[in-house]
Amino acid sequence: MIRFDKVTKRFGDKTALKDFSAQIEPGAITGLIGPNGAGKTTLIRLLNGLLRPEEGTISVDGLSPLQNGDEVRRRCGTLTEQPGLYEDMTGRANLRFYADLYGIPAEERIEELADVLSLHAFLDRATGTYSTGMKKRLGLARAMLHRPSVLLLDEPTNGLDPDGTRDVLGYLRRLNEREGVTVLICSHVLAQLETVCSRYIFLEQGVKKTEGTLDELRSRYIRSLRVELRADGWEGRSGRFVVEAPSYGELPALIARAAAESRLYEARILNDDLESVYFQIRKEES
Amino acid sequence: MSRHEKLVGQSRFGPVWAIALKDMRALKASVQLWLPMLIVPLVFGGVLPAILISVVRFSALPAGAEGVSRMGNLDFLLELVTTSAPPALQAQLAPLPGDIERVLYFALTYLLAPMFLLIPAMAASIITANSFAGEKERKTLEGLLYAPISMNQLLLGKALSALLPALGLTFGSFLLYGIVVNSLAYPVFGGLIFPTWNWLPLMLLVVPALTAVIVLATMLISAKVKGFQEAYQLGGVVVLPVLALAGGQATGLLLLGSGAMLLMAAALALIAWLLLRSARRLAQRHQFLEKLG
Repeated sequence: MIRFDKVTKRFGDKTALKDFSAQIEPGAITGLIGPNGAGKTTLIRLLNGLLRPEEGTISVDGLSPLQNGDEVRRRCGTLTEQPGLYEDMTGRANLRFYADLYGIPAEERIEELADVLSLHAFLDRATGTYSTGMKKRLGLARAMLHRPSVLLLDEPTNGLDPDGTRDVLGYLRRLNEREGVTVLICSHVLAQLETVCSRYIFLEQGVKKTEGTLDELRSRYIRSLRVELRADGWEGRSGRFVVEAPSYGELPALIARAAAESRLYEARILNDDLESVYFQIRKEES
Repeated sequence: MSRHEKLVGQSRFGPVWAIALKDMRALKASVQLWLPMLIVPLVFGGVLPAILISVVRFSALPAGAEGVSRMGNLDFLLELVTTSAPPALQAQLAPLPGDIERVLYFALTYLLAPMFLLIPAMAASIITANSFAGEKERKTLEGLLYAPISMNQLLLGKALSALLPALGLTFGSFLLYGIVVNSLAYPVFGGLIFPTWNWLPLMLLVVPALTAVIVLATMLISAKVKGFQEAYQLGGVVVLPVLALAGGQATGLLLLGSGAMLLMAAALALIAWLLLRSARRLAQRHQFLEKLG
């Protein structure tokens, strides 16, 4: 369990995080969403004890990142936006080095991660020659090397191609399901988050705007639904057209009526995906 | 489990050694860094004494009494050597056949001593600046900070990665110098003249203590600045006075003997300890990134 209690972090006169409180349940995949400069990276650094909050407390499984830093860092696997790889070393040498820092046997675990993250093709090349996606994958392997119980990922799919993105997200989901690893993902790519996260925390300019599951957020922020229908001849319209529904409760009746009165091929809600929720929250909470 | 893994695997020293090894491998791979550092010792430890001895053997000595003046105006040096040198040195110089031999002996066993302080100081400051500030510059420091290692382990690993190569380079040049001097000057003195006993405390106490001071001072600077260039330039500000002080005294230290060298080493060790204390206070984990926001 990760707990933030009224945490404030300032850099000079700039406030990066203000009065932030949140709980991240063990075994959940939580999405941390917000525009650039919202304080997501600060939050990850605070969790690892790399920064000291001016006010408030943070705990990871009851441990303080400042007082029990090494124990907290042992539990957390962190991938930052900069993968921080040694470019003159091969991928394997990078992983071996970190295994030494954690004091764990390397070879077997490296093979295992290389299988899962498809690293074999480039593992023995200097990381300076890697593409962004390769670096990201190796960075992920590094974050997971010591089998952490908490994964903190800053933009884990940034720079990955669609295949790479699907692989990484699939792996995170499996890891979460099988080993119960708690995952916190910071990302802008909302459509990707929607497929993996069970909860979301919205952050803007260091302030938590709202949090909840996607359904909770929908019911809180989506006032009326825009539904795209594809039908032949309904109320004088054909092909694709958009109708409004005042609430989710009205939806079954609307669709039933459309199906009864025309040939209905498809009905699709346009404005209740994570992205729509995100923009609605930003509009309402600012 | 391989031998390497065994070494690194268990103890608190494991991560320290892993960091030191990683940095020393990076140093080995970076030719533009170690090549210039190799040239200075080669010139001072090999070429320079070889030229000096050759000039004496093949130009000054065959000319007999005229030879001394061929080496330039050495009156001052000669007077210094014959009048104000300590009794031990006088005793070493007295049985030598002539003034030329005395000057050569003095130059080879005393005057060139400062370079054995210059070499570790130079190497230590370059390697340290590169390893710490370079890590910041290449944005790999943050990754290290996320690992479960204490700042002491990190600092110690970094310090070792500069200390060991710097000392290795110094002892290597010492060996080279000894071989060049003894083999080329053997016909002149009919025996081995280098090193004299006084070199023992110089190399084993003063040099390591001085190297530690420079490593720690450069590390403190590196922690405060953004990049390698800046660290290296600022490092020069520290290194030059230390060099001027210590290097300038090296010949004097040899002349004064082991007591003075013990004192010097102790003073340097004290400075190193003070630097280490401030490094540990200043380099707290949560302060490293504070400025980066």
